[in-house]
Amino acid sequence: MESSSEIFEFQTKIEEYLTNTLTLNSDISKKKGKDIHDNVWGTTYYYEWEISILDLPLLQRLRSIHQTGLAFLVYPTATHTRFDHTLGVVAVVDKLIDNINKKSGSTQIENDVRYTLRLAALLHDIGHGPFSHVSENVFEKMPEFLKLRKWINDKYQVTPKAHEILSFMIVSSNKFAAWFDSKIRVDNDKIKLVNIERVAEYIIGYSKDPQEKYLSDIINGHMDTDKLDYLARDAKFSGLTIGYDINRYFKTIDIFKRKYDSKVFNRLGVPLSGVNSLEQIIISKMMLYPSFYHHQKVRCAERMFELLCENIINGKPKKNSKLKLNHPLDFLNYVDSDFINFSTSIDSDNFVKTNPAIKIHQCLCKRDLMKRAIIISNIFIKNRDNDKTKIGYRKLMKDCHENDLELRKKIAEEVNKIIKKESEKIEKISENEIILDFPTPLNMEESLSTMVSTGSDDDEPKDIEIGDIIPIKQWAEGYNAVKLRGHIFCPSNLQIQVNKAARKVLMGLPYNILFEKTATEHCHIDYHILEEEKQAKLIC
Amino acid sequence: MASNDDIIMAIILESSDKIKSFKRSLRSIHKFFYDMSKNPDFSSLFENLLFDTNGQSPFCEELDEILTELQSCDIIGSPNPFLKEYTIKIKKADLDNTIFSSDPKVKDLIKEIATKFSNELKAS
Repeated sequence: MESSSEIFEFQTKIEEYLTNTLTLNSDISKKKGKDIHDNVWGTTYYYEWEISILDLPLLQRLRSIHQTGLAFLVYPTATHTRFDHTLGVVAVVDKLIDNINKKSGSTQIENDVRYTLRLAALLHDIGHGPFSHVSENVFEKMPEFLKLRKWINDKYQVTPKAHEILSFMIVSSNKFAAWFDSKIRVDNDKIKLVNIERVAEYIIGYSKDPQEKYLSDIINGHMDTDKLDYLARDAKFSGLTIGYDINRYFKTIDIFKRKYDSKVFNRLGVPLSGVNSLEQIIISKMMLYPSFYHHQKVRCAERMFELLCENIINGKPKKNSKLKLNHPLDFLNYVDSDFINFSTSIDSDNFVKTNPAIKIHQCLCKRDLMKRAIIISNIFIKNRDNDKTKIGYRKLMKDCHENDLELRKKIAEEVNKIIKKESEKIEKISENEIILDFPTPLNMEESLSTMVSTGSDDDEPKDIEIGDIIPIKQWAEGYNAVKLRGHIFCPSNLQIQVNKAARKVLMGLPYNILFEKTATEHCHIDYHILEEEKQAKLIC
Repeated sequence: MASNDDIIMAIILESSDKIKSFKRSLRSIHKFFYDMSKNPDFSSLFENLLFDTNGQSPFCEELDEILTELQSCDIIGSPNPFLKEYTIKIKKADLDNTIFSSDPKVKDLIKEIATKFSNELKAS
């Protein structure tokens, strides 16, 4: 694999990482296939080579990584792990292939391709760090990672997620391929034709041959097996009653030939009769966002964790911490418990009292989560028809997503002015005690890329985009306009002060935002107290 | 250098001199910006915009997010009942001057792309 020096450095680090994670304590030759029982998909058989891979530290670490980050602090039963999900994706891949083959009446997907796809499913999440997407949000912003992402896009023309890129880098490394050939493939005729390069490519959604695009669609497409598992699993383990008819979906999903720009593609799609089941899956995804992924407390806990990581990266705990997060790959050296035990890994008592990272960590451990000081939402803005406010609102969203430090500092400064006037007893606040959060709006990209076939599989197939039948984009727009909410979080004893300060700062340029009283009231802060104080000051 | 979302917003608002609305065809919008990013005259503005071209047509997740955010902020809207086009809902004059005036070269490029954008994506 040709590469620049930076990519070469990344590859070298991957090889180092694999030194410790590709070791097995037991004898591979004695491994046997196993039935594994799962709460979501029932019993699935895993082949002997899959069991060998599952037993590696590379995969076993996924047992200690929560699938849904810190959501278990809000949904106590959402304690399922990346390991459970990984097994689930293999099960879904297998069921999907069975259905496609059954429908075609032949072995449309041969066994060697089945094994390749199952391996891609098994290895697709090995690039996850502690608390899954929460640490991913941190390492994907590191300069080393941005270069890697650009390199992947230049080389493969795909835009995978950050953890998928790390999984790809691991599986496509020379060391992994050599280990697979020497330890797994050797003496096993069944997997003689399994192509490890394809395994890595499917993980990032790449397929060299457009006629085989449906294979990468199964692992990393807009209606892939990853999504089918996580939607069902997250709903089930969170306790939310959200479901879809997966059996109907399996019965309808198929491979369709289509032409685009004179190229012939084979893609995964559904016929018109499968639209209802597809609709159910999309609705399930939409329902999980407000109740689960975008739940304000879940978001708060996750942002607190990100702030903790940022403090560690910026060297606040310095040499005292055992956690070193200087490179994206460093995240793979840890699991959730390393962060749970973070405070105990620090030596100095004195240090603990003053360090912002320790403070955040201790709050997380005690589930002493920050409280909402104000809600940022289109529907809670008074002057939302003003053009300057629209621009300011976009700027606020952007600041929350990309660089919120300046704004946090401004709000903290304003809070400290208020505190100084009110009481000498209250301790000053720092930017580390204020969190700005605005979830990325729902985009429902499935509307563009999920195809519905309305004609037979001849030379001129008739296809339409699912978005032309189901108003997915419009649903997402409705959600973004009404339900999508950002927040400013702070310690519970400073809700009123942070509310006042935030309103003052955001009223000024470049934001120009005036909040409705509901933006305060929905945080369980009595707006009338704030108004009475204001009136009293005016009278004085 | 302005960020991707600033550049795209500037192009859309700049095009409001010529069009009040544009086609709400994701495929056409993504294809347009993909072509611009590959055009040597304009590619400097889109260096960090990454497209997935491994499917049937180019798709950029970031561009999709940018359009969604512009809609969430009511800078562009999709009027009922047909939802077939995006309407530009604010005046160009209200855009932060930093993008339009800080670099005359960037300003000219944005104007040029905006003209192409209005020609190619004008709603019927």
